[in-house]
Amino acid sequence: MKHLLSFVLFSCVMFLNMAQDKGVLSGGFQSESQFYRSDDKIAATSPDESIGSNNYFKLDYTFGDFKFGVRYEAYMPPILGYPTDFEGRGIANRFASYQTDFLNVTVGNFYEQFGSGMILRAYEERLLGIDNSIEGINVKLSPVSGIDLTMLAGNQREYFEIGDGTVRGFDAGFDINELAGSDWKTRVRLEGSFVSKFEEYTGPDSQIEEDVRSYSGRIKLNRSNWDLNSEYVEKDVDPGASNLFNTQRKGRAFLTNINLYKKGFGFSTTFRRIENMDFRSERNASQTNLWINYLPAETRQHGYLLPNIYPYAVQLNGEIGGQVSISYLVSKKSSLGGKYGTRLALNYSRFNKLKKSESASAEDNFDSEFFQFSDTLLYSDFNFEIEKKVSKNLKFVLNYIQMNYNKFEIEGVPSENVKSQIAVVEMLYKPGNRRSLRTELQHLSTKQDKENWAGFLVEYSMAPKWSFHFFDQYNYGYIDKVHYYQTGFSYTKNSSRLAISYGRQRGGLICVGGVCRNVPSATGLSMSLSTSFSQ
Amino acid sequence: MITNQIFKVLLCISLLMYSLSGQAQTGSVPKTELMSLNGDRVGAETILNKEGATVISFWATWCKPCILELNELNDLYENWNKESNVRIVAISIDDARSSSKVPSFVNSRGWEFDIFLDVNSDFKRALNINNIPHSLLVDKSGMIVWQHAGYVPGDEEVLYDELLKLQK
Repeated sequence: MKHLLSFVLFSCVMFLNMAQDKGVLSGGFQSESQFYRSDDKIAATSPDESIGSNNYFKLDYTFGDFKFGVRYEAYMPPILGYPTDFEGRGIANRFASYQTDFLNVTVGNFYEQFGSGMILRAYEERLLGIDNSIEGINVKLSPVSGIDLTMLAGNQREYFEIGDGTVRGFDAGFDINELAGSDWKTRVRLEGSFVSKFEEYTGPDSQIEEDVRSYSGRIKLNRSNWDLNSEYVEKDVDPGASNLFNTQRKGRAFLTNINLYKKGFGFSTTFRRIENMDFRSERNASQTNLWINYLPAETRQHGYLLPNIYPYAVQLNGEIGGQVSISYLVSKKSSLGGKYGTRLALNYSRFNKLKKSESASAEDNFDSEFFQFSDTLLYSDFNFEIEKKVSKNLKFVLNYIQMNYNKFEIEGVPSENVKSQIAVVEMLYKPGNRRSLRTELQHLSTKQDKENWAGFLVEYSMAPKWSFHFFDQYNYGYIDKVHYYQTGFSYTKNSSRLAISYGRQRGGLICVGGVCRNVPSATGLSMSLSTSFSQ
Repeated sequence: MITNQIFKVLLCISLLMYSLSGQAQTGSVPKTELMSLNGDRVGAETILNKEGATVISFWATWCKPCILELNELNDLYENWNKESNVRIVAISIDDARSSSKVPSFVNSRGWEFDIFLDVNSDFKRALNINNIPHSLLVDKSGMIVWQHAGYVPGDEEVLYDELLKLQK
């Protein structure tokens, strides 16, 4: 059936493409390949085929209000770190849609997000091998200005198949100012969602429900220099592998963001609490498969190498905490600001386990205090950044980070908390004629886990086509004193980019948006090719 | 299995015919919904400059080369705007982890251009963009005339050259 749908869709694409002057054909290609070799120094073992290759080819055809698309994927075999179940090739995504100002209908595979995603988010993150697109039907309506409605139903992608559970969802958004015809300075928007999953159950446990429902309510307020967004989600009892088939506990999540800003200044704060919110469309789903909702880590996503040795992975069964960020641009006219201004930024985040309620019984739906932190720290991160442009051709960034990482809770391995201090100095020098030299010096010091690391990166670029780099992460404080080095180059021409590198990949958690996958250590040659086109 | 193989053959034939057809038609900005910083839903076509060219730059708060690029463009924006009436639009693909922080992030950097949110990467996907940063130049008729993947210092000079070509 899937092949038939792909066949029909692609026939349409091909037929319309023949009609010379009608519509727009666009697409993209991405290939990530790695050639492995064994490396005793980092305990990297080459797989039998010594190669991994992930490939994606996408074609879309737009014809007036209609759009058709297909995506072919080939994992021959998947690169290390990806689930081996991806191995194979075929059409992984196909869709047809019709879109006007009033109505948007999509059949086939689609991506969607309700609110912040805490109740539903179908999305793709290739770096981690996540694609939980829904195959079914999605209808969006705007019956009157100020009201947005979305209805969807379908099954989620799992590798080259679809999961057993059916997901149904409804989302409504109301722009109160628009509906009231008011000119209030404060904008008010109210939203709500309902999501259910249905999975047949034929086992003996009468407490396992086939239909699990969840509900979300949201309020968004904003004015010229502040905004507030808040969301509460509650989920029915949902026995599954992630909560050891608990038949009593419901799930709930609460998120509030407040931001204050004016030109040259930004303040942002977040509070979030999660309890039993691993929501998947199959009871036995594991790893990163078949997630219906999305709960990213509410911590700073660092852009340097060493701070990412200990990334926070969100604890879906329970966590409470928040984050505060303050940024200030020191004026160009002041002594500290100098000729080009100086940017100062401070960020702090902290998450603890939930505090168990002393009065809760085994029959209660919830067993923790709503606003109280337990004594078990999961993660904290204090960081400070100074960004200074000294001259037209020279710029510095200084970073100081203090982390406390509960390795036992986050990775599930015996360990004491890893307390680390990280310093980074980045320099960018532009000698002119479209040339640039960027360097990073980094140091991570800790007495726990693998102790101290030093990092060095140098990157020389010749715009717009060439860039060369070398970096090394040296774990000099540990027994083996390992260098995780890499060198390579990239060539870019318009929307096409080829990158080739050789070196070592440090094993551990790779995280994007706080969702993580454990990857093994590897040594070898990597090649990345990507392009996009439109005609 | 047979339909799968037929499909692959059709795919190859279609690609071959497409590549040989040599159509000169340029792609336009696809219909997609974005979100403004005050929460309004806006169509992607409405962000384009009808009076001149539009530069669309995809970025995220965690993407260091993106921020480097936007800092450079911000320094150049006033002069470029005077010379060519160009509009620069920055599309943030920050997801729920960091999208709420975009307004304070942008204000604290003093960026002057328009910012829109693409929280589930729908616009990025519709344009078949694989990675960020990624920049597009759209002419005043709404056609994409130039694209560039990635950013290294100096790329903004190439973009400026392309802008000048559009004025001729």
